Amino acid sequence: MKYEMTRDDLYAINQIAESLNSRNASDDDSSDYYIYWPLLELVKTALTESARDKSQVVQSDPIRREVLHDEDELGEAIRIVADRVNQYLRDLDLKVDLELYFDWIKKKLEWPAKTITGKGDLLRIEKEQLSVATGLVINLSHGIQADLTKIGMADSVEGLYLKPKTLSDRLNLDALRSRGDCEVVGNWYPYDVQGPNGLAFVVDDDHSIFVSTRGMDEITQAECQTVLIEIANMLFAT
Amino acid sequence: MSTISIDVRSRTIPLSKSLKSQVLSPRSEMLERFKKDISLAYHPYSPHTIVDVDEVVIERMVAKFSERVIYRPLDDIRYWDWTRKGLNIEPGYPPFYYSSTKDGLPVNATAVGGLGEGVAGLLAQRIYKARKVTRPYLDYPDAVMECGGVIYLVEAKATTVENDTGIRATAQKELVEMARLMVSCEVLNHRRVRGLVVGTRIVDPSNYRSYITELVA
Repeated sequence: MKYEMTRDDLYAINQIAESLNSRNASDDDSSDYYIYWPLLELVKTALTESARDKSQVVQSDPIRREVLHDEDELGEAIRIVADRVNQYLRDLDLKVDLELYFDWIKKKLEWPAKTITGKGDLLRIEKEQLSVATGLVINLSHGIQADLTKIGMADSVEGLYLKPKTLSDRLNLDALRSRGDCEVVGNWYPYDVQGPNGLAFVVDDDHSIFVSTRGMDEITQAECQTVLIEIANMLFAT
Repeated sequence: MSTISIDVRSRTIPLSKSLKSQVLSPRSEMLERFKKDISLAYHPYSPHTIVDVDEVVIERMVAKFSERVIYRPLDDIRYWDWTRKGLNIEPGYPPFYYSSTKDGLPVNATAVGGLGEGVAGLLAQRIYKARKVTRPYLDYPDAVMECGGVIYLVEAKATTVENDTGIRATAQKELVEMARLMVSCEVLNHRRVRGLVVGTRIVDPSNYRSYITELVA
């Protein structure tokens, strides 16, 4: 499974580190919610990434599809998260036994994992209609890469969702405000950006940008995508 | 898309040592004392702010904070509102009137629940500048968020019932569970924690009223 560190992952791991620094070392290591919750989110993210990868594999390789049914994706996601978190905490000289937390997460995510990875509905896999949208990696200005996902049906796209893969600290909202045809509404995330031609963009604290394309024809949708990329280039400019 | 206006009322209740002791006690008279001490009579809501957002923001927040996939929840609310106002349906259409009320056809409860979760997440972000840590599955609370080292536990409730009394009472009942979880968290960790119980009444498709109770440990 491919799995790259995202801004959200880094945030979750930092939450674990902060929680470890806010407790007595002698306390029981297995029932601190403040460690469990960020770990849960990391495993969910790893599972979703796995589903996206699988979705692409299933579409391109029918034989591989059969093999996927036998894979323990939840176990694999936990192993990846465990390696990453343990490595990060070691670098900070922090120690914690995560095994019991992962047992807890495994119980909680057993059934949701089947839904996320598609195992709960074998028929859906065979029909190659996985519910997790596949993203397109695009190159923005300033060397930033982003995933652009079309949400909805292939012939009826409901929205475009762009999320940077490159880690960035802040968004340049001032640059967007200086653009004559955009109004940034709101005093905090999620910002509501009213763009040209009545387009409304949602800019969130995970640095994702969403725009609804409901009811648009292909040409209008392509124009909308162009404005989305222009806005992303302005927001991610440092 | 059009704008949705959320009229936000709020109150803050500090959880004193006495309240924490009461809410954890196995004795029913202590729990009754806790409920009385945090009641609306002692801690009334005050007007806080009005949040006006584009519909697309609400839909995005539903996708982010809802436990289930909900397809076009705002359309469900709009349709329900039309049935209250005398929607004409074609002759011969078999209406499922057996579950209708004088206020129209029953509203899609999944859409209402999802909107409640989306609005709670939106307000936690906009008002408390909190960022999502996780959205637990099949668990309590609805969202765990954080700002400046403080953990926010967020629980959402929502309704379309005609008056505000119902949603305030539902939110009030939730405070026992929330206070217990906060105290349980505090035992093992020194991080500051706050509980946000957000009850939202969908007045009509363009107007919501949200009641936020902030428990401070």
